[in-house]
Amino acid sequence: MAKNKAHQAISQFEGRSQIRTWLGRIVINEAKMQLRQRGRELLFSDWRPDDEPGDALADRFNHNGSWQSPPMQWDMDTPESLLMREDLANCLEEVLNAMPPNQRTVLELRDTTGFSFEEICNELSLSASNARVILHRARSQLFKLVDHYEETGEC
Amino acid sequence: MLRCREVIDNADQLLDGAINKRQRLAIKIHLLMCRHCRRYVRQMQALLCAIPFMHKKASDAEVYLVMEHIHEHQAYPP
Repeated sequence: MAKNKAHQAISQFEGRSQIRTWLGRIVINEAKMQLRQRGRELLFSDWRPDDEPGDALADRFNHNGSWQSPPMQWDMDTPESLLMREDLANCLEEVLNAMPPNQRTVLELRDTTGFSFEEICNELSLSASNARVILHRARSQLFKLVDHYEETGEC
Repeated sequence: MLRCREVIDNADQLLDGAINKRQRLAIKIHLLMCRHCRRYVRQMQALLCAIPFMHKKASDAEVYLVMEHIHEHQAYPP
């Protein structure tokens, strides 16, 4: 009985793991197709930090590296409350759709699909440091949007 | 002593648990003293938990495509 349950659990685990890999593969293929369609954009392996606009929060610091314009205290500071506002959810989706394919892909693989950094670097032929920079830029864009929304009530 | 900018640049790795003990300690010491960076890290953490749910509901066609692949996968396991 226990053996059967264990076997069932293992096959379910393997199934989930394969679906995750399969979903990740869709993200990667979609990104590569977009890069090809846009033509001018660089493939992951050729990407350099200076190829795209930098960190969305860079202008929030002074030349000493201290906050010049610190983040707002968000009223919506739980994941649930962040997603409750439909207008904000729409804006977040817009920012996701407008992201450079490199940023969107790394963000989706890491934060939505749950790929490890090692997997992302292997799949996209990226160095670990470039993958970190790309992910930081993607997350910063989303943070900036929510912060702006909290300050002004609009996106 | 780390600067705020450095803390924010390394906050992703802190939240991912991909940071060595010395870096973690340096960031924690900074966070004890800097409420702005504490706020950033706390709010970024909430944002990261929300990211998987930021996508709109999939269309019927997208759901069908995914279900079809899952059925295919179950019928012909590797």
